[in-house]
Amino acid sequence: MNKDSVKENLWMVGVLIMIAGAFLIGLPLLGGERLDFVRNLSPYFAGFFIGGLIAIDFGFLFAIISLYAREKEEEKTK
Amino acid sequence: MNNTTKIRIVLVVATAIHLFLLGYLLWIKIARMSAFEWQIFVFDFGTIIVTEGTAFVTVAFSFAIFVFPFIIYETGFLDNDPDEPPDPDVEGGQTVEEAEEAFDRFVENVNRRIDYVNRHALPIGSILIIIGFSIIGVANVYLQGEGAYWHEWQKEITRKYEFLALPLGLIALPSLIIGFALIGLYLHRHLHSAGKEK
Repeated sequence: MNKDSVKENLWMVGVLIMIAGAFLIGLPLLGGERLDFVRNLSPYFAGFFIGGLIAIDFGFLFAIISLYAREKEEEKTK
Repeated sequence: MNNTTKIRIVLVVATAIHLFLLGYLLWIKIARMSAFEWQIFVFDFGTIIVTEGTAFVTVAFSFAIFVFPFIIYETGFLDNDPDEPPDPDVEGGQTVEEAEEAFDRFVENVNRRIDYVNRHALPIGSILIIIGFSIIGVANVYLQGEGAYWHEWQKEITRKYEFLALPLGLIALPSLIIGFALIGLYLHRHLHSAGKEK
């Protein structure tokens, strides 16, 4: 794999981490048997929630920083 | 797809997720106020109670810290007015030279006023740092909780003035920051001038 292509597609990794974080938050909600999500939440939901939130923020920063770095590089080459 | 589009996609996705979470938590808070309290973490160091309110605040802060600055930068609504002519000579009012002079005058005026602080940056900074650490020491060590080995009068002071711990801490923090800033200024200026002399 080309090194440049890895650099170019790094932002997608960030987006995937964001999606994984959102899934982490959504997972316990989807797993409930009843529709009453709120009462279905187990003691572990808070952990899922905080972990998912951290993943979302980390992925977002990863994606946007790699995009800005790419933009800078593009400007340099111009 | 160019880079700007990708940046916008990432921003929109992040904003959407955060807003969704905020809306969800708000819904829990409003619609199910009596039914809900989030679970209690038990770690080695104690317990943290996570309610929908604290979770809402957490998401709001993470949005405000991590996402919102990028939105401001990308939309550019804090930038200069794009209708403003880029050439300063076209401006009807103040020219750049005049503005610079006015700014210089302003800086001189401010400098005159804070000259004393400026000249005595090192001692004032040190005193502020000492005061800040002392207050934090008093507030956090003395006013919060009593030791078994204390005299009765010490315990009485703690019981009476415990409420002052947080306000005092809030006063101490800025004094520490200003003190460190003054010392940093002093060091920067002196190192800078020493470099110049060489």
